[in-house]
Amino acid sequence: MNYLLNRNTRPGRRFFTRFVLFLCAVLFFLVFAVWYPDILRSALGVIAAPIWRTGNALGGGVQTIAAHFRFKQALIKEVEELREREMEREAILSAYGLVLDENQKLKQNLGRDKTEKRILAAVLVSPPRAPYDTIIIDAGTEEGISVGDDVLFGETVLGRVAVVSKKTATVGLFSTASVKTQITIWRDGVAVPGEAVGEGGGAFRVTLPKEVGVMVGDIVVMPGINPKQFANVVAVDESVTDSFATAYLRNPVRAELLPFLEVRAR
Amino acid sequence: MKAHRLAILRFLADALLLALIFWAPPFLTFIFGIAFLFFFAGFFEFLFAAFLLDILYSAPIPFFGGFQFVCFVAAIALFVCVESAKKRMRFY
Repeated sequence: MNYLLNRNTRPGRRFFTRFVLFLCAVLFFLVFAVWYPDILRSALGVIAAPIWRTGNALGGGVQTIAAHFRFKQALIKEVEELREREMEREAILSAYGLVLDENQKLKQNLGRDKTEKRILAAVLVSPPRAPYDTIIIDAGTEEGISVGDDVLFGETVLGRVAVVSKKTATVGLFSTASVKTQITIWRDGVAVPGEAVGEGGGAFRVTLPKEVGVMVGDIVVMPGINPKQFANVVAVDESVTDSFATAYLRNPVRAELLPFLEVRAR
Repeated sequence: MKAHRLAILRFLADALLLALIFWAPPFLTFIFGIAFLFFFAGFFEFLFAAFLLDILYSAPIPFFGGFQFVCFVAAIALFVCVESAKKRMRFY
């Protein structure tokens, strides 16, 4: 039998010196990053933003080329499905405009006519490309964005600005695992308060008393004078012996497919 | 000549790792990083790549208790594991 030589298990002195030196350098940066995070992020954000933009443009180009090689029948079927869906949405939207107008007038009459300041931002990186389940947008303090601002797509709220630098901002999603958010479930004209726990991938879980009678399709909003859509109830899990029901929610907007977002400045 | 070729390969590996940080999901950076750790001696660039991932994308999320250098800590652990495994392998 032959064995591995013992001397092979001894690490070389040169390797150790290099490792310690490197660790010292990184620790220096780590301390720097913890104490002065904005400086490092801002500097890197300036370099990274054009790189991300180039990558997105190249990715878009590849998708356009790939679209030329798709099957004709599949495309025809997809176009038909999209036309049907568009007709449905148009019908809903025509009524939505009237309701929105009426809502604004009512608030105006009641003295709560507060207009929102929104900032449009392009999505540079979104999950699954970004670790930590975050979205990087191309607007920062220069555009008036600050930490804690709500991030929306239309009237659907997705998350809050967690980190902001000069030219970019990092958005933390409400659906990130373990993130808790105060929500309201609209049930038969009654607002039921609850706490949604993020499960990742646009999904949430909320535990409520069974008597509330939460059902699939109920609308979940963020509480406030201008409630924003948060998610829809997609499944309810309850047993005869349990006094609580677990409702599973899903955000109707898929964050990973969005090209633009709006930031509601506080 | 062999050392020269290895240096070119290492430079290409660094460039690939950098491209992955910006344009690919983080798990790919880690997979390639681990492969490079086995291929090259003392591939410290992997630690730098993980540090860059944290600086660029991190946010204080409750799942990690608000800690923003998860990738870097994971990379250090992987680096130590792979280097100690290499010392115990006949291949090296």
